[in-house]
Amino acid sequence: MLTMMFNLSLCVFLFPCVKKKPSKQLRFPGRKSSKTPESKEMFAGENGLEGDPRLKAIKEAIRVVPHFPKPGIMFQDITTLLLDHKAFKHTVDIFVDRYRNMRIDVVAGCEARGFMFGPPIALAIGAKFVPLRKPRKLPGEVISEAYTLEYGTDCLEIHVGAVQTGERAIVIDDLVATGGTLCAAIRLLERVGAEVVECACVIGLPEIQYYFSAYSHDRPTRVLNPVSDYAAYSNACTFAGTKQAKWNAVVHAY
Amino acid sequence: MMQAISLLNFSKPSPLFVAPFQRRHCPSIAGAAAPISHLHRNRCQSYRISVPPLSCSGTVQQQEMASDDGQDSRISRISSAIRAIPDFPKPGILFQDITTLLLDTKAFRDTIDLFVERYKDKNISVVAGIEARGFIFGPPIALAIGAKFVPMRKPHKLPGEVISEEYALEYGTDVMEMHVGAVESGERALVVDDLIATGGTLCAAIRLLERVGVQVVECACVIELPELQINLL
Repeated sequence: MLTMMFNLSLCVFLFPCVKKKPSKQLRFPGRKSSKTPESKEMFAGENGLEGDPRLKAIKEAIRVVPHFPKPGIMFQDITTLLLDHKAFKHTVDIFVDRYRNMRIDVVAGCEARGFMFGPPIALAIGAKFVPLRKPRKLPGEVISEAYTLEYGTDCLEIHVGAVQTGERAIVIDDLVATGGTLCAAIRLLERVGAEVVECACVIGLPEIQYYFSAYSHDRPTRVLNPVSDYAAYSNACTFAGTKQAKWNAVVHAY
Repeated sequence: MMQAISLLNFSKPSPLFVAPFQRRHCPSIAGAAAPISHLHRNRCQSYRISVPPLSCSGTVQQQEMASDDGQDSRISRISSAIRAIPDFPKPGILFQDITTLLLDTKAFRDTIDLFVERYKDKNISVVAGIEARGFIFGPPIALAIGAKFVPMRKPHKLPGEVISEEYALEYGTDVMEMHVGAVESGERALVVDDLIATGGTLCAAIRLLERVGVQVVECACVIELPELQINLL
């Protein structure tokens, strides 16, 4: 059953997972009965941060803008979060608390909203910040990774030499929907030899609870804010337009 | 009068000769004075800047931030961490790449610290960052000084109601947007970007903020291009 009620779940962390075959029953999130038990751990509010008042403040600071960028989409706007200094600080603190002792060498942020959250986290945990950018923005030698959008494709690039083999990395973005961008980010980092420990997003759309794509990569992603706007995002389940792109949300305890 | 302040004094000579320097008028707000501080001055002997002047008048002065012994070591490390990429985005341009600065955790930390030390007691309530590299430096500064962060974006990126400001490029124009309601009249703001060249982008940001009644206290950039002496009549 579709619902327009928003129940933002914040701080989504996707954990390392075992790949599961997607089930057609999981196509439409919102049916709580079909939610995998492990997926509960993906959301900070359900794992370790239950009742944390910071999550409420963060959630309330995010606004929804209807019909952007196109009709039917309810856009999760984090710019209002950035205007609330305390809530913005809470957001960064929650991620820093999680990653400061995980020996993270690299924080990779996806252009452009990942640039707002990634650097403060990187600075606080003593990691380097690596921007993952749209084509032809990075001036030096780059490698590129194409990924599929709902309509068409896009591309992410990373500087050659930014990351060393064996470095432990996290990927930051403001929101995860189908995970296409994060998948491209993971592939880029792995191509240069990094170990992607986790992906962290402020907002997670409900599908991420059920689907965890990444082709053959099952990388953890943690979301601060799951969103329960099923009506707007139900069609986001078809990542890449192929059934293979369904995400299997399998999370195990860490 | 708009004042540009340089935080960093970069004295690495560039072997690349691209074109004779040309001074250009820099747009500013009539009657408005917004200092610009930059961390890094590229002393490349020849750097071509060919942005046509805008119609408004004013004066921009650039200064380097005062440095003492304690800052010198930080600044030289920041300076060394920035790399120059020739012929990007097009032949003849020597691009100042801050991504290597972001890989040096201490230098990146020092960059932010230098700005925070300068602005923390200036009652700044707004840090406006210019897409996209201003998004990397602005938020850490905003968080440290207790200000809100406002992204200034290219067209059609901000989801809510926006106001727009057009500005000149070397060829053609571009548009910068800011959310309506992000800032309030009377607030004191800082504009942050990685680099100032002609100042066209910063001027557009200043105009946007001033249109909604904000006082732009200063503009802060990591890098200043050397010949950017923007003095108007």
